[in-house]
Amino acid sequence: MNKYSLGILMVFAFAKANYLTAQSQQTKTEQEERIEVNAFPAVALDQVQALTTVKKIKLYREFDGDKESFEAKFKSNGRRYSVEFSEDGTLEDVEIEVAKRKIPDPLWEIIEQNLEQIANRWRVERIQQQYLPPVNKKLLEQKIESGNFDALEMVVAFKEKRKIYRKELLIDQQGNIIKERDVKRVAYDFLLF
Amino acid sequence: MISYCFRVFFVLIPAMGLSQIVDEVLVQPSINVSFHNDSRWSFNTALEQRNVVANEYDNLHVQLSQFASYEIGFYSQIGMGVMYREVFDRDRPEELRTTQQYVRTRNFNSLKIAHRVRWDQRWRGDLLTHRWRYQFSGAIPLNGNVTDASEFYLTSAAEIVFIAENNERPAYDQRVSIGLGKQLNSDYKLQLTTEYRWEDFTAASDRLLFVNLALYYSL
Repeated sequence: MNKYSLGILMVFAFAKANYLTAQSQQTKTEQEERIEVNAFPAVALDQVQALTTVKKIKLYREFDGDKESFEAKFKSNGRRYSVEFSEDGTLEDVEIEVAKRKIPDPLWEIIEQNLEQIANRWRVERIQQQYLPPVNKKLLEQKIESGNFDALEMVVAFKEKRKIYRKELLIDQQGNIIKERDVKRVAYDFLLF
Repeated sequence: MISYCFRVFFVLIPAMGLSQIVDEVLVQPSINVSFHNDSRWSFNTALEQRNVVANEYDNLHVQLSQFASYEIGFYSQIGMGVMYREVFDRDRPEELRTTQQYVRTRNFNSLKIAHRVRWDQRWRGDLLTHRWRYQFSGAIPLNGNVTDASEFYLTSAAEIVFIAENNERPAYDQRVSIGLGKQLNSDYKLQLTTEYRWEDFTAASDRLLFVNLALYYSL
């Protein structure tokens, strides 16, 4: 019996079959891995250091569908920054986590109305301001300082009669939802049972 | 980068440290299957087996459990389950267990925290034992913000159990555990946990060490 159950377990554990999960493009399937400084594009690192004097910067390589990119994360002045670069080290955007109260009220009212279109009960779990690099890269810092963001990226939980789900939304300066995708549910059964 | 073997060593530290003062070492392999579609309902089935490791490897019991859970809010769910335990000791009755529970989980960046309140009824022969349990647990990925395929995570839990039975003095159990898990691919997880239990710690307490090896599969 002992051998038998252990045997089954081992078969399951090491049968590393690569399941081809059919995932639609609308689902958020990012996968990131922490990397060392020397694996991170040097051009990109210079740009990160231009943004902050913080020493503790975490570097990641990210796969999002077919797209590969690099990301630097750090905390500066109590705010969480996430700076994304393309494969060749071109700056793509800077995302800064903010509290809801940092969003101007008139804009927030429009966002609320748009969220209510999706489901009448919802809860915002994360808000990030997205800053796209201006043509003159030297102006990026000024842009961030003035809080003149290009878009908001939010993770929102929605509750409907029969289901509870999460979405990642990209919202423009006018409060319109310009992109949305489902956040993959993560199983935490080992904590619950 | 901390190597794989070194991480396993960390998990086993409590096992080594406590080996002086445990009364029994038990090994529990298990297979857990969870099913969750788009609805608020989810179902968990688990097959678990317990062995005591003394001079020899002794098989104590095999149990099968089935749980049904329903999400009642953004972060909480209620559930109930039934478990049957086949005991390999002719002098002890088989056990049927019914459970009701409430769970609340929250994310703090990459850290996941769960509170679990549970009420168990253990039916053994003519005996009925009630157990009220509270567990506080957490999990954190060791690479990045979420545990992706082929990455490791660390998990830990503390649980207190109050046990009441007719004509018996009530008892308290305390359990602490720490575990290392690996996400094998998007559906499978393998987790090694060491758990230390003080049973009936307000009286003459038994100290047990569990080594749990669990495979999780989500459909």
